[in-house]
Amino acid sequence: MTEPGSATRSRAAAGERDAAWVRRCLDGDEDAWCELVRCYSPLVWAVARKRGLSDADAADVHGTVWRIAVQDLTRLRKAESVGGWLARTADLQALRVIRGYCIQRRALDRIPVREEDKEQPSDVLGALEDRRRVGAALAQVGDRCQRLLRLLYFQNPTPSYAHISGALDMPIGSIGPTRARCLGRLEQELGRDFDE
Amino acid sequence: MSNTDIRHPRLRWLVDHRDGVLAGPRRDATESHLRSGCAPCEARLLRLERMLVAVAAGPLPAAPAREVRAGERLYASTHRAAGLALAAELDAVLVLDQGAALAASVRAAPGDVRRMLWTFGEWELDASLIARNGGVDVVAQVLGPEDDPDAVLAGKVTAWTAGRTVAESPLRADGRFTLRGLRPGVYALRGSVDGTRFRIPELVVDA
Repeated sequence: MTEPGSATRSRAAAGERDAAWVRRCLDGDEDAWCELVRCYSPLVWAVARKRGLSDADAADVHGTVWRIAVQDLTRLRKAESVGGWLARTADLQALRVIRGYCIQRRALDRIPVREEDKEQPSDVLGALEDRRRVGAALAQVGDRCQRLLRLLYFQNPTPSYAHISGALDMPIGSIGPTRARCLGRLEQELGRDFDE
Repeated sequence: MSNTDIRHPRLRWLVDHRDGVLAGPRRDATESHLRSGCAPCEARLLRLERMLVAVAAGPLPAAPAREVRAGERLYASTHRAAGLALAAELDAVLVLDQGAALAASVRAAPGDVRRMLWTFGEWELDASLIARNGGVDVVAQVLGPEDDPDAVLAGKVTAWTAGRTVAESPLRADGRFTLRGLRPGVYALRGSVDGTRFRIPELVVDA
C-alpha cells in the first residue's frame, strides 16, 4: 500500500503558484495581479465577515487590504505565503474598524470594549484558509466526488445512504469505497501545502 | 517502532475509524496500529480531520463581484500613479486573413474554416476559425521566434467582449490553444506567452 503522505502532486504546489503570481506582479503583469485578487478575495472577505463586520465595512476592509497589498508586495519576504499574509492583514484592518466602533461607543455611551475586540486566533484564520484550499481542491476532484463528499460531510443532518444512492445513482455498497477514493484524490490535490 | 516494516491502514479504514463506523478485525488492526504510535498515520488522520472539518464548514462565500473588480483595477491605477510601467502589451498585427483556407499545421477539422495570422514582437499567432453549431471555435498556435520543436511555452489567452471574459484557454507546451463557442460578435483577444503580453484588438466573428 501507499505510504501515508507520500502522494505525489499532479500540479505545482499552491505556494509555488502564489510565489510565481507575486513575482509576475512585481514584473508588471496585471493578469497575475487579477488572478491573485480573484483567488484570495473570498478569504479576505470571509476574515472581515468573521469579525462581524457589515457588508459595507467588509467592503472597506477588502479595498484597504488590496491597496496595502499592491503597495507592499515588494516587501513581502515569503511570497509563497502571500495567502496567510493577506488573511492577517484583513484581520488587522477589520480590528481597526471594530476599534473605531468601540471608541465611538465609549465616547457616546461609555460602553466598554467588546469581547470581539481581541485578536482573532490564528487557528480561526487557519480554518478559513483551510476552507479556501479545500474548496479549490474539491473543484479539481470531479463533480461526482465533490457531490458525494458534500452530501456526506456538509449536509446537516447527513442524508441516509439510500438517499445518497438515489441522488448520485450509485449503489449503496459503493458509497464507502468511493468516499475513500474521493478523499484520497482530495488529499492528493491538497498535497504537501496542507501539512503546513 | 519502525514504520518501514509495517502495513499502514488503508485510507478507507482511517476514514471509517474517524467516522466511528469501523468494526471487527479492521477496527482492531487499525486501533492497534494507531496505538503503536505510527507518526505518518497520526499525521494523516490529522490531515483528514482538517479536510473534513473544512468540507463540513462549506465553501467560503464569494466576495461581491463589484469589490473584486475594484481590487483588480487597483494594480493599474497604482502603477500609473507611481509612474511605473506595466509589462508592455503588444498589439498584434494581422498579416493574413484567408477565408476557407485550412491551417493544416494547427489541426484538421470539419466545418467552415477561416485562417488568420498575426504577429506581435517576434511571435506569431496562427489561428483557424471553425464554424460549429452556430458558434466559432478559435483553434490556434502561438509560435516562438525560434523554430524549436522542444520549446515549452507557458501562458494563456482570453476572449473578451463587452468588458467581460467569455472564453479562456491556457497555452499548451507547444503553444496551442482553443477558444470554444464564440458567438457572432466582436471580440478582443488578450494573452501572454512566456512573459510577453499581447492583444488582438478586434476579432470579428461572422454569423
